[in-house]
Amino acid sequence: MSLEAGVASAPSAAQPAKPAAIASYTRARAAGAREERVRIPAAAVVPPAASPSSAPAPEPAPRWPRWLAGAALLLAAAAFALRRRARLQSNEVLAVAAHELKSPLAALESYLALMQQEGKAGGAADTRAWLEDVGHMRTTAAHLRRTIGDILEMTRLDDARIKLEPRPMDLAESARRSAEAFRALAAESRIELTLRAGPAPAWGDPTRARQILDNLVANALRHAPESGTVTVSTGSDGSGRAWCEVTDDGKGVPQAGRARLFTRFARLSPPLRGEPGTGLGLYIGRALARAQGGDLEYASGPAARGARFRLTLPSTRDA
Amino acid sequence: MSAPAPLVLVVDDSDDYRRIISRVLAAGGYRTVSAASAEEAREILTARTPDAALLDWNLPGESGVELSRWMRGDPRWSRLPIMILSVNSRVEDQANGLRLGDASAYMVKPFPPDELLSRLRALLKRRAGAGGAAR
Repeated sequence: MSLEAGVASAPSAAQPAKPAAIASYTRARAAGAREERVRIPAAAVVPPAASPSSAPAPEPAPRWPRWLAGAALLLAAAAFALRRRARLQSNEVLAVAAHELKSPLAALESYLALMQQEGKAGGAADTRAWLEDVGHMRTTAAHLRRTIGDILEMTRLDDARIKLEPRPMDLAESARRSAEAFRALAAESRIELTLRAGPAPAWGDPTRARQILDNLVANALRHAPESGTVTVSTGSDGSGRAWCEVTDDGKGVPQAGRARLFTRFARLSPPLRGEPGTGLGLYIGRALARAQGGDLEYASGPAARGARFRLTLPSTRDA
Repeated sequence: MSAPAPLVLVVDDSDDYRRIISRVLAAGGYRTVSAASAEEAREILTARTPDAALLDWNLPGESGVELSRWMRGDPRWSRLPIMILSVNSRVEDQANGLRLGDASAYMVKPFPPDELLSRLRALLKRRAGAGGAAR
């Protein structure tokens, strides 16, 4: 943080002595001390070091104006509080992530316990049931792997370590490819997947746009009812933005849960089919969209049935 | 004619756990009816009358603990044996789960299949011995 870096910069001969509080804070930071233990004393100004007796009488030491010392102390305290808050939030996310990993791991352990018990009871000959269990365990392990992948993606996004390659792109083409990728899965679930592609020239990273759309279509297919419909449509609005909407005719998101929809690990309703999501897809999707100058929103009306998600991207670099 | 096997309501958003618990309970001589959310469970409760309920704490939307609390407010389920299941294994989690949900028991996932059966059996026995009061 630049604010903190400015406060805790190394002392130099050309600069006046730092207030004791800041020097102590800097030393504590350099020594890796816990920030909770850094104390900020009331005294704000350090007297200059004593000169050798043979030297000519020194000039009066420069003193920091009181207001400047006070401001520096306030800045140091604010930086301390900000870092502490960030660390608490980070710990909270870590706790939730750990819980998300514990659940599938517990399921794997329970499968193994069940197989072991059935084996002891003489069920070892029932290899078909065991093979089914192994299949379920593989699915669960894959879910665990996806969750870990999404957690890593989330941390990269939070730390702004995702490299985007924006360029002129066709959002309609991304939508078409995404719809095609899921067509077989939709047919298997007897869901009608419709593409209504209007012109949607955009400025964005096609790979990341596709990642967002794939997640939206996969979600829609999980929540659409049997023999339901999922529609992917694209276009450009009057303000020079390209958009893509993915709608389904499932239950939609309850009004009460919409505020949490794009938060980490938000799962508001169980899917009707397929594997549950990791709870990070929409969070990641919105972060990716915003990093490209666009947005991802829930666009269903208050009383509307079904879910409608809308991805927007700028149509040009300067839009 | 013998009495039908006890019916257990299993509420868990994990396909794995609904499958595992149903299999363990079937092996122990129980019938099960399962739901993936509190909302689904409420629908089931309008038509079925379970003898016990196993509720996962962390459900999408309304939690298992909230569902348990809601059930306790209904005279039909106020004395039903309710067990909260969760991967939250700290003692304070267990105390909170029991207190907030007014549940009969708490079990940490993963659990040995035998232990689930023995604890469920004990709850049902206690309820039968107390003339329908399991809490």
